[in-house]
Amino acid sequence: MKQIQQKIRDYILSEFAFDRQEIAPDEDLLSQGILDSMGVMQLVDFIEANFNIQVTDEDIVPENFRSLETLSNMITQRVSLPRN
Amino acid sequence: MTIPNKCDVVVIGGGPAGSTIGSILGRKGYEVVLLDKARHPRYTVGESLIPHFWKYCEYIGADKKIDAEKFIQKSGGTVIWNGTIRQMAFKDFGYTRPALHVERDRFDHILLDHARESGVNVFEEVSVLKTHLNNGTHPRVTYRANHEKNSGEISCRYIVDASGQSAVIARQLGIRMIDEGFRFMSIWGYFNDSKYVAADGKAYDFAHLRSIPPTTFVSNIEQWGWLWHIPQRESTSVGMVLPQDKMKEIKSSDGALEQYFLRKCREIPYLNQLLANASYVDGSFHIIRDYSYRPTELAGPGFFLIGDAAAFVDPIFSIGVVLAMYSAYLAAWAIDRSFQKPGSTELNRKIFAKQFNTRLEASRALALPRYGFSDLEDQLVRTSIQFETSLEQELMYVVSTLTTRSENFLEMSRDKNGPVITSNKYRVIEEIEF
Repeated sequence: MKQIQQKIRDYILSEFAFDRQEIAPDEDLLSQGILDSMGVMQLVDFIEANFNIQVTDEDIVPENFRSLETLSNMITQRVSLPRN
Repeated sequence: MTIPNKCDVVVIGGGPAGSTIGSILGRKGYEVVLLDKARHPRYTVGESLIPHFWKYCEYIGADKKIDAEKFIQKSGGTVIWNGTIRQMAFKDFGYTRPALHVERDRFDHILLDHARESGVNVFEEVSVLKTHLNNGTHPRVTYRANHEKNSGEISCRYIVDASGQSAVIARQLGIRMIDEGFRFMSIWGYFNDSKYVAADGKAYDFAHLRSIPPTTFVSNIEQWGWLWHIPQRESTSVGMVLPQDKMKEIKSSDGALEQYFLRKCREIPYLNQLLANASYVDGSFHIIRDYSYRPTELAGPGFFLIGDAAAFVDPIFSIGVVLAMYSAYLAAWAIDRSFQKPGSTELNRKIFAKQFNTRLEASRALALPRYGFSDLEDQLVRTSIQFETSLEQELMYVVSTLTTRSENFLEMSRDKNGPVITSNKYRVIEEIEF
């Protein structure tokens, strides 16, 4: 869980938030302007490439992309599901 | 150079949507053929740009070229709605790059040249006659160069329709639907030496345009109509959006509509003062009827619809070019992923359609009075609002308070589950000083 958050945090810091040192796990990435509608799609690519899950159209909603916590919850749930 | 008979992606149309997706895919190394029926520079309308378009220009690497053109920078908006005069300024929202008033022939030409430099094979004065979608298996495009008799054919993997109001694929498939809740028409023309309104609420002579930036001037016309006044480098674009049923009273011949337009320009308060010493550019009158439409599908096997070729809502908040570029970005994302992992093609298409549709609903909510939106549409709007940064949310909120056309948007931006958007970044002024 912690590891997933760190990996996403590092990616977001390097791609979208150069001016920042840290992002809190519950910080609102959307309303803070860290992620916008373009950034969300880039993040989808990153998540798929790094966590071996497929993000579906139903996953791409603000509830999942709101914070590092909600993102890692989404990923954890997917990883623990049996894959068909 | 001759048109190849095979490529990865055919893009129909070289406006901002076509040039943006061409530039993205060209830079990724795909073979892209872009066909445009006109030769650029060519005229089109949609001259007011909100600052959001810059992030797409930066993404494709065209921002310095746009900057170097020195288009007119606008400082904000002046909106007169039912007698109340409100002003908003982009600087209050912390935007680092300016909003612009652009001559679209020039703006679009810069982007098309940029697409060429990004590796896109651009062919102008070539019309698309028909697309053969083949359920996504090697779709083909039949085209004809405008000065030639014979047609030709290109086989590809994806066709992107960025043909603007021509909406080549949507019309061919019969999926382009007129928005019945929103039957408006638009009439417009150009004036030399119009005065304009600046951020201080004062009217200035055209000659001051560079030293004192203009605002976009908008005013309601009776209950549902409205007008725009957009000063550019050489002339000022003035246009009116009017309900179709009201216009039936006027003889619908073009000449009668032009007379009506010029009479309204002399009658409408404030606009008539701005135009008092201006001269109308003869022959600059334009009409679009029934411009509000959307398709039943935004994408299908082998094709994507982007920009105005997909849908057009209403020009009131200057989001047309931004929507064109956003949908181009999304389609490029979906196509790139589908080339890389063919198994994900259908899912990518679904994601494209859902995200784009969400944004379209938000634009509709901003521009339309409440015409029976469904719960599903409401939910899409809420999602779209929340996917924007607080800066953009706040701007949407403020523009939605400037007119009475966005009451439904305002209601939805007060979603209990999302962050509450409020803002007081506009001011009410007593009058415009001449």
